[in-house]
Amino acid sequence: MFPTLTRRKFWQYGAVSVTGGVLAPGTGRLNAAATGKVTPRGSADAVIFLNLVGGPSQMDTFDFKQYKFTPEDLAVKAHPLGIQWPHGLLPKTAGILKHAALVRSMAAWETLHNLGQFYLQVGHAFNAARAKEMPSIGSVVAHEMLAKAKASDFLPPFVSMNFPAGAVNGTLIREGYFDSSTAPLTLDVRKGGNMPFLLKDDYRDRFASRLDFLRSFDSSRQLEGSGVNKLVREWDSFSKSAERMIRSPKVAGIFDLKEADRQRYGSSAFGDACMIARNMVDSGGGARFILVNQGGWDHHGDIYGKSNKGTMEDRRARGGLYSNCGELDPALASLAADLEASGKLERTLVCVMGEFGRTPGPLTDIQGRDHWPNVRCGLFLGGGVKGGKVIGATDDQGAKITKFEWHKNRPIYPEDVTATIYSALGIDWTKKLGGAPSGREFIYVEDMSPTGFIGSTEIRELFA
Amino acid sequence: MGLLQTLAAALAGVPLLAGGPAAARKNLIDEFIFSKMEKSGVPHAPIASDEEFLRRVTLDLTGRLPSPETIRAFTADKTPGKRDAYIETLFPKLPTMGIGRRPTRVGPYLDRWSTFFGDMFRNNEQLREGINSFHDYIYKALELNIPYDEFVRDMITASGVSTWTTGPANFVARHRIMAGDGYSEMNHEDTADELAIWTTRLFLGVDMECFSCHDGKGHLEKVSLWAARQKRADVWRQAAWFGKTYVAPVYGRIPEFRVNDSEKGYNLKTKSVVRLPRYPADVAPAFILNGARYDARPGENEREQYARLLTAHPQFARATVNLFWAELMGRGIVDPPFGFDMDRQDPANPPPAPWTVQPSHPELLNALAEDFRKHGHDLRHLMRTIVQSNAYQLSSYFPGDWKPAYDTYFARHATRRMSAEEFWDAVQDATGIHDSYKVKDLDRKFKYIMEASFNQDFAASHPSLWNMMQDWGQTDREDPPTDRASMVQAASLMNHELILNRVKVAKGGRLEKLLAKDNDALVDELFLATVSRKPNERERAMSLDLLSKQRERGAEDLLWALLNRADFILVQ
Repeated sequence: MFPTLTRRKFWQYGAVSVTGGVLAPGTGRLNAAATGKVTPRGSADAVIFLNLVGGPSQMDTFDFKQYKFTPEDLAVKAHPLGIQWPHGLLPKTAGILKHAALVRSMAAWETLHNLGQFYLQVGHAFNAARAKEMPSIGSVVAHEMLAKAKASDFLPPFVSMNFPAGAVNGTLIREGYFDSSTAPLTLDVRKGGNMPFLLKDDYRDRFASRLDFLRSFDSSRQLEGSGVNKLVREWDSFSKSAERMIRSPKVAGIFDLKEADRQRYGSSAFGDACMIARNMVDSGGGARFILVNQGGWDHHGDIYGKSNKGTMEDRRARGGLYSNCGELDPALASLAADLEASGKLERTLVCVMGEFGRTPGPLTDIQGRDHWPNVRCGLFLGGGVKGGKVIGATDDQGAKITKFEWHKNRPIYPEDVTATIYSALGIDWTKKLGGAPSGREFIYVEDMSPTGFIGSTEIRELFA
Repeated sequence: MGLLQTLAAALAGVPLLAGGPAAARKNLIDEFIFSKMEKSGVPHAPIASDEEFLRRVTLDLTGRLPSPETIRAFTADKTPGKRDAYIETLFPKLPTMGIGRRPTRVGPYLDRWSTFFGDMFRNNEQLREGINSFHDYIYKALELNIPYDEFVRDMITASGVSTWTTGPANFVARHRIMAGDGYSEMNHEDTADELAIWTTRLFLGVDMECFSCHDGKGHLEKVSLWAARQKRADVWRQAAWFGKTYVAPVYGRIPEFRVNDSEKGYNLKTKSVVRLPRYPADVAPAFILNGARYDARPGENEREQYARLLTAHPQFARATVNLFWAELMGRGIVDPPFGFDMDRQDPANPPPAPWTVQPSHPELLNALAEDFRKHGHDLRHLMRTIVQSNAYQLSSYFPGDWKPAYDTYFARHATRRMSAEEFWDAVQDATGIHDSYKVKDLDRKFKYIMEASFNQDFAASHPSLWNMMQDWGQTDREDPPTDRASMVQAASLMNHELILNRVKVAKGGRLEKLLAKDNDALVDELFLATVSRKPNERERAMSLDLLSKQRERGAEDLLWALLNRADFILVQ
């Protein structure tokens, strides 16, 4: 059972399959109601979501548009998929596009990072009255998946890595009013970021003897009776789970990153996080929604780096798209290749996108691009997605969607992406839950958008 | 006094007013709290022991552990009234005439409450260098013990050419809403709305956000009787007090702001960036709690009049005392503190069933508010009154059967986790190994992270610590920090490099010093430095046993174990 559940909570989750309801702490029954109107496809066991925080420029990456000022070393040439591809920026990713569906007819509702990130991570508009109680997609997945957790699970169902610091990026959305067992395990895989779960070999024995001592030494945890504050027991429960995770030999395998592998993934914090995501999926330990965040895509200025001198390696150090793509490219390509090789790609949905696109046309006066909601693009692979396809097209500037190429015949919005994720995991995206502090129902994906009824639904064309 | 005595009493057939004899009533708080418990037959915990009280009040008021010397002196002291005397030592001395230039760091009480207000006012990257000027302003206001109503009026009415130099102007600038590209264009009306919503929330404890997008009617009947009666236009009329308030970036793209009163007024026609479109309504300023209109008296513009009306209204004192009560007692008399339902405050006019009067102790709340006003809105007086009371000084250990209903009687003291800052500073003090941190953008160094203007101060220089502090609930202040427990926290106490390195014997650290003493002294001192008390017999035996096997290694293991005890990280 996932370690943070005490016996009492286990009973609650055990009750889900019987009554269809789950007790959220202090808020009464959730009164879950699936509408049965949709049939989720259940083609994936886990989702790895690469969150390109800041909003990547669509016309310099996945939906390439040539301009007079486009640097030569972007090495743009035709790709077998029938698109122009910047082989200078994303050489390795070009090689795994055969596994991917490239979607160019996506759009966003928001132009501000915090609102856009909220929409991306939750699948709902930021609503001041409800924002605090709304669970993120990861927590909804955790909630659904914990009900089917296996005794062998040793990882939390929702993991988030490397969400960039700084208010401007927006925040990592957590579990809202859902139970704390659906909260993300947040890890920071950065230079200087220590992984407290990694037990060094030469420390193993001493750690064991320290824990032995602590168990009988700490009388403050052993107090019995209803008079003892529940926080004491909660702390004890978390400690025991932490201990189990640290001492699990499988966990060491997840966080122990071999240098050769690291280099293949690009020797970066982002690459390391992608490796850990791969390891988590490989371990079958129960991680179901793994959010890997990469900041720095908000290229208002110097989108092509601070200088156009030097080799590609030099330019990767100088910022702009070269840096971001320099990190993303080897990590994404290696992740896809490794999941393919291990046979896990079939049941692992990988999504790659940011919260909005960027302004088309000439660059700004500080050589960048600003926020653009009308066009956004993303990659989907694995989890049943049929690779080697392109969905949608935009005009020659990358300003407007010209072809939707999916059955709703409108831009693909965050709601639809969210429905796709839930569907892939076998979750009914029309499900409604009660028990929220505001008294309002929480619907996993709403049919209503900021502009009216859109009939949110999964992007079934990805899987066809 | 304590657990064993109480249990003995219980076994002897004495009725379990759990503390043995009923607690003495030291002030108005005790009168109300204990008489309500007596009336309802609710037993209460015993009075906390000297060690429990000392640890708790020192952390609560200063964010720091008491030193072993302080604990020894206090427990040995037999003077009556020593607890009250100790409380006074936690407040830094007020500046006196001719004091000259002050040292930068006067007392941990100031850092602890500067951090509290920094979190409350969301002093963060949205202000960039304004973070430092805002923090220093708050610190100074606390140092001078400026009356809280003056402090609030000062911030609401502050103007300046630059928020980077005019500290209090950051309060207003923080609430601006940007439009367009998010850098250079302000949305004046949305900003005015935010200012109305936040000042009403923070200083009156009333949340207008619920009816800022739609009228209360048809939505809030199950949430708040008062809010269900309010309309969107009520928010706009409250916002109109800021109708002339101008907030704009000085250089167009950087968060440095100019604040003044040069706008034309609240314009309904402006398109909102964050909410549904506004509709035609009367938007002449009107104070939401009593409908007071702007009377255009000379020498007082709308913003200034709003500040005066707000701080003069009785709800200001009530909300403030309730906020500090919640902070020190773990739960508000009205809980949560920013959720007052104004239709449920008066026991003489109770709401219709099944609604109940909202404050758990309405007479206490009013009396405490009145006392606060009478004492010139003095925060130190308020805190002193709370922590001097026996209600505050009850133990958090309750012998016997606890019923959840007892929470609202404050029948035992709440247990909480140390805040992220408290936790790290406690680890530094316990191990005697401190780091040096630098304030961002200034040539100023500090030793305790509670002294930071904002946690970004040490993000670049101490990334590993910063990451761990985020796991412990520090945030970017867009949302308030949390003290929720987690598995990652437990794992970091057990296995994070930063902890493992500090429990080692190191030059200048506490362990190195203690190894020069005998084992009993070493064990005593380690306990005092961590859980703020001496070991009991069993703990002493186990600790001495650990040391006897391998002295240095055993001492390291003992320190590790102490930091991993629940009663280290929890404040009880």
